[in-house]
Amino acid sequence: MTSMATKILYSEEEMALAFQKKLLSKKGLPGIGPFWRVFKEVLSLSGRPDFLGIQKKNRKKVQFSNLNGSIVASSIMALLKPNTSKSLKTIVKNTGFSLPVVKRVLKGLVEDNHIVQAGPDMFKGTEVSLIAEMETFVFELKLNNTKRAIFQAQQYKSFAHHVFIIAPPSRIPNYRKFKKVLDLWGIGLASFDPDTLSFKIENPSVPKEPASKQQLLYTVYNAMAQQAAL
Amino acid sequence: MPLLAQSGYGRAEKIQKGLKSGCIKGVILSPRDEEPAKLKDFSAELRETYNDALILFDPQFYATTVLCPRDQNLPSYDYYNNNKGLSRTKFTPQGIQRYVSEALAFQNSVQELSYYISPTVIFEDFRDSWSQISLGLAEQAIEHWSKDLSRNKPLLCSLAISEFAFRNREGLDEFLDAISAWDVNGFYLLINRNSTSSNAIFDSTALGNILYFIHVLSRINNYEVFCGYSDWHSFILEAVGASHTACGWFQNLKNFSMSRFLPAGRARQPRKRYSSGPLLSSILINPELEAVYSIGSLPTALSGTSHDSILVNHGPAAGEQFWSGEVACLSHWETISSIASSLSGQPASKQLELATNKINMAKTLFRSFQQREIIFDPSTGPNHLDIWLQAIQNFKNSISSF
Repeated sequence: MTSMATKILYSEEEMALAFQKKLLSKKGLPGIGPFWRVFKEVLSLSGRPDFLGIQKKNRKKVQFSNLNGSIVASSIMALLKPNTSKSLKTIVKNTGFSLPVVKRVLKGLVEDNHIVQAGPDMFKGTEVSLIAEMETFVFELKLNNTKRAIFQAQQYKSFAHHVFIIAPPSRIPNYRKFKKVLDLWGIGLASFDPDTLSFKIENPSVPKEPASKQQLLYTVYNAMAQQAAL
Repeated sequence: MPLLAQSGYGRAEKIQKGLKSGCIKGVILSPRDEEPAKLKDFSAELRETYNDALILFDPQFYATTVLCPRDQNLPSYDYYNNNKGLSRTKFTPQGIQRYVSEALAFQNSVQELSYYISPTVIFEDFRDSWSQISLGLAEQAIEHWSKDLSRNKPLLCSLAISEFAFRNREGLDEFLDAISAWDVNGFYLLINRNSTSSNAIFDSTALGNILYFIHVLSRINNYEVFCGYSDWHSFILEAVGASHTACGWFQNLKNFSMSRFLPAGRARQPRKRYSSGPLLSSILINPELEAVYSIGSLPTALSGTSHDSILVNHGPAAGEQFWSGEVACLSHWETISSIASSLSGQPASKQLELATNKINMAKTLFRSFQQREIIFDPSTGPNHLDIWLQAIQNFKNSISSF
């Protein structure tokens, strides 16, 4: 039997360039809206997603100078809450990093007002959380390799509120048999045609708090500290 | 259970905690990652607290043959610094004599060491010139140990062999004939892997012959065989006769490869994994273990270690941030040592059968997860399980014609 699959006449890079244009347009993506910041190929602890889009929940001005995107910093910040202070010993035990490293990073985080020193060797989170003001969207583009796309999307759920797999319209039927997995994980699926720039949500993403606050902090702070937004 | 810690960079408190919990029985120290004074202090500290712990020292002499190596602290050891950058022509009889006496002299100065380990070089084929140099170094070590050191501690002859060499069975048999006549306590065996990635799958013919090699040395010739960097293979190696296996915390301390000594770029942060005994694989906490959790099957994939509660209480994806390098290492040691323990005490013939059953059960579990649409990264498995089964079959065929 001859394969009926439609041949795709553009590469993933060409698709990404066109998608980037759509992401950065004034109106943003249909059904999602415009983004405050967009980053390409962001470094995360769970792979390198094609695009990370950040939407602000309100119009508050966000301060993002002196962001520390290190693993140690994000682990400490994820651990500390504004209402309860934690001892240095507990921080070392729960993060698994050595005492000198934790001490050094804590000092920097206190100086940059990311955390508060609540007493001798006692620390807590700040009331103002940059992360609480944001909603993160990850977009993974794939021409083929459906399974890989789902696997990567599952990984990105650890730090993103929304994850979308973006595929050419002719490849959408390949995802039908994974409908249950997409729904279970709340992964969105959208078609995108780089020739017409038409974007259509085929399966909605279910917004959910990211599974790992540490990974969210690491990814967003790293992107904002190290990379220029598109 | 005879699992040892393969020490290296970033040991922190892992070894002390592993010895305290009983999941490891000793350590193989790494001079590349520790200055001599610090290494001696650490050995003394271990001996004082853990009197029964096995403390070994891999001289890592094989790094002397690498040009511009990433040798870190090795140059602070005289036996290495005096001889680095060795080419084939430098292994004259006088040269070999000096290299051996210097390497063993350092080990003689560390009283706490339980064994001597002879210096060695890596070879790619059982019939190449480097294999002859390796034989020369070991034979010289036996002579020096007998005459000059009066056998004051047991000696292990070190062998560092490329995985590809094990495809040549004829050469292997000749080599075994040569070394099985040595008057020595045992061997420290390193298999130089072609890749250190977590999906570094063995060729089944080579792995079958490695099992045969260990079996002949241990069960047929009664040598102690210490297998370094053996990771998940530990239980299979022990089932064919290995007396001790070793495993570290980073990927380059789980699989032996000379790439550890070669110039390299900056490595990316490894994704966190959970060592699942039932799956016989280190699976990604996110998304693989999280996917197992999402279908309500988490208990079937857990190893039952004392650290599991971190992932059970928070859920795998949320608990990942508390799964530190130390916790991952201790949990990994506990898992692989408990698998090997379940085989020990059984008759030799039964051990391999039990190992095979475990592999088949892991295959079934992987299949059941895949049927429920859980996607595993190729580096996780389950392809390695078929290779292990094939290697065991190859090994059985070898010994039936022995």
